[in-house]
Amino acid sequence: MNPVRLGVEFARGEPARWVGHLDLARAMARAVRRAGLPLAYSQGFNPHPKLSFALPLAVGMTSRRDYLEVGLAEPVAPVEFSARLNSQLPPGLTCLQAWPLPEGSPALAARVGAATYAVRWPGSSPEALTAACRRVLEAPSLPDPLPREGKTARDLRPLILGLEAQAIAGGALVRMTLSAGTASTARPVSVLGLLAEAAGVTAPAGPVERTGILAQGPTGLVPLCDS
Amino acid sequence: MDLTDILPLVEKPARYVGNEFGAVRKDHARTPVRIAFAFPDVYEVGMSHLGGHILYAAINSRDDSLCERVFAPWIDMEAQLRKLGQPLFALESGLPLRAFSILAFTLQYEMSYTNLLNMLDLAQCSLFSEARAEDEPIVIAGGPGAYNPEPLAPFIDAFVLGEGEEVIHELISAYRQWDVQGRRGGRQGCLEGLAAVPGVYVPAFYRVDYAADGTVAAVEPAHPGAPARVRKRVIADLSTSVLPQHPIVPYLEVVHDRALVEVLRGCTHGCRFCQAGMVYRPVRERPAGQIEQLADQMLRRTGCDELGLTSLSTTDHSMAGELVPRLAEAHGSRGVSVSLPSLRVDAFSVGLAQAVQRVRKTGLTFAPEAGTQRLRDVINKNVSDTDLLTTLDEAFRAGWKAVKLYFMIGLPTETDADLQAIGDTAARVEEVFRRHAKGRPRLTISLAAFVPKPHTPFQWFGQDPLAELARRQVAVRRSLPGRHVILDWHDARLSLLEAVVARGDRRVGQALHRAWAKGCRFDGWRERFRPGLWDEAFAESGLDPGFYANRQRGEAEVFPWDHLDPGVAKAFLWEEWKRSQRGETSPDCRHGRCTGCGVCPSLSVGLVTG
Repeated sequence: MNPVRLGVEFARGEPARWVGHLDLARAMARAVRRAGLPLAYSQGFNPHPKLSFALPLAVGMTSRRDYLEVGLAEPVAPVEFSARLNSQLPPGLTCLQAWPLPEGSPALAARVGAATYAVRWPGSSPEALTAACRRVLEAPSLPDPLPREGKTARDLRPLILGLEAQAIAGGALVRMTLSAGTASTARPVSVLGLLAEAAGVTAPAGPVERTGILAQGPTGLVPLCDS
Repeated sequence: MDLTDILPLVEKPARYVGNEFGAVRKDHARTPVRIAFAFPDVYEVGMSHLGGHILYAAINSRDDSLCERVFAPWIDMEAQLRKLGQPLFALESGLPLRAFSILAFTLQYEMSYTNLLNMLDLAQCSLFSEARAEDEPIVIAGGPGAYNPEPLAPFIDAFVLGEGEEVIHELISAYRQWDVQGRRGGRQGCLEGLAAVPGVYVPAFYRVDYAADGTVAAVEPAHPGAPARVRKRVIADLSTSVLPQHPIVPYLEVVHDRALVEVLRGCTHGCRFCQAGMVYRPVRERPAGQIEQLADQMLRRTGCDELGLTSLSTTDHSMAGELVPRLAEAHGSRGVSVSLPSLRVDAFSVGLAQAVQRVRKTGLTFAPEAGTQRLRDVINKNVSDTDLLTTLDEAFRAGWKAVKLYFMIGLPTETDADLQAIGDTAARVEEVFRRHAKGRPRLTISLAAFVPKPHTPFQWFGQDPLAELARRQVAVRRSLPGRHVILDWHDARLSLLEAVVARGDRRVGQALHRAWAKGCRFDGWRERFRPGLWDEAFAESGLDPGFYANRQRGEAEVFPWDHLDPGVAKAFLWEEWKRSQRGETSPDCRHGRCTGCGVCPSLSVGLVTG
């Protein structure tokens, strides 16, 4: 029998933000098992739980809305799944909702087109950052200031889909929409580096928050859970 | 404390944030006895230790006490803490260790002792017990290292010998009584109270005299409250040792990443090199029904997909034949695999391994320990060549392709013929494999240099000098049928250091201190071990490592640990040492004849088997 698939929307805060991707996957699987939910397993000598994330989350990053999908050996109502999972999640992880994924529909990870991020930038001038955002968006090409080791710097410009700064108490909040997933993925720290350079200041030390993951819909980007 | 700025700079930051599922947070202001359980190695090692989980739950179950955890910070984290002047903190509250009543270290391995000193220093506590101020925590230590704690005697206020389940409550009571009575007598008063608890050893209450030849002349009480001998604690009935109702489930992958249930304690095979086999006596089995109930509970409450049945020799449990397959059956459908820590060399064990390996087929590990029957008789390892080959025949027939065999070099009476026999054994294992499959098995020979340990029949034995151990390693390598056999060996310099610390006296504490001051940390980690710094530390302390490691002891020698009593009589150990030199074996007392080790009468306990 094919497992029943559920999409799961979750948030990550302290201290779970310090956990790496594989450790997060194990923590989630264990919470599902503690909740007595019928997690499905792959076949073969090395069965592993049917649980996969839409987009890996870097160590140190918080997330307001992240996604994973789980396969269940028997159906469970999404509301019940969410409530039971929440009772067993470790501190820093919250299940926001679950929804059924139609049989045969593409994996969540295959639908991801972009992700949105927000960063607090204390002590900065919102006006100066707004001007810097404009300069970044107007540039024809932007080599990645933090290329992966051994790789040549990619052009980040086509991967920046949105960039803006707004005033908040004590500084500015920068919001970014960056290409992710099936398309090329831009890292928020790289874009912050570009922005800091354009503004002539140093990048903020505080955590980057992922605010959402988007899928390419027929009329543009939509939240992954609505795709 | 706020770690936000530090955590992005260190490897595996989740080591330091705590707050895992199951972690207990209690109010310090309302809890009079605050204990920090300190494991002198990294988080992933410490969280694999079942004893820590048991004590954590036992202490936190009391209204008057709380227990938090602290592990040795890795080098990168230490550098950050020192740079910022931040004291080492406990995971649950983030409070500095000096805010606790008691720091309780566990001594699982001699090569973690520099980490212990480092943790005290990072906690901004005095390293030396005698220098500790009234407002500093009481520093205690337990675990197997406490059976010869003398190298740590200058740094630890009180040691606890034996099993912790009962004595921890008596320790807390003694501490509380001192605390509520206005802390009469200061730290000294507190230690007097602790020394009155059976199983507690306060080293400052003993005087060590040395003979002209540098050996210990006598260790005698120098305080009216100190008993002449301190006897270990045991629990008579393992079923009274309860596992945590709500175990901590780490975020990080730990070394033994599974739900653990201890199925039996102690071992009576009587291997003469094995300290655990001597000091954890007698054998006490947990009833099969309770094991099943606890396995179910631990799996449900942790969400782990692997069950570890722990003990020194799990297949010895008298119900193992029925129990292990039943557990595999009960939990296998939910994707759970059962793991057996080490297998006895017999077909029965392979059968059990087969029963539990339906889910994941990994390699099998056996420990023949020595290459010839003669030498196995010397060490009382009751395994024959036929046992080994028929066991492997069974394993290869069942489809296993990877086998790891543990051997030691530098055992008493060992000759080059014994070393050559390791290679011959490897060749015969390959022959057996070819009966069942083409090609070769994936064969690993793991080679460790023998380290003589206190309270064993080999405590009189002088370890082979370094150059000789190195020669023997090469001899084994040359004996192997080819380079395809994977030879896994340990640095002999580390084995030498282990031998020094294992049988060290109080003076070795000075070398420990110097080695720490020179920067030695995580000595048991291959990439961190700095033998050159240790050489300097011994030289500057005026100590000869060979005196401790390589010297053959005589019958009359007083050992630095003779006043510490694991229940097994020194006369029995000496008799076993003599028998070993005659190549005479001794039976396992579980199968009838008592070998007269003395543990049952002296501790008023007995074997508990099914």
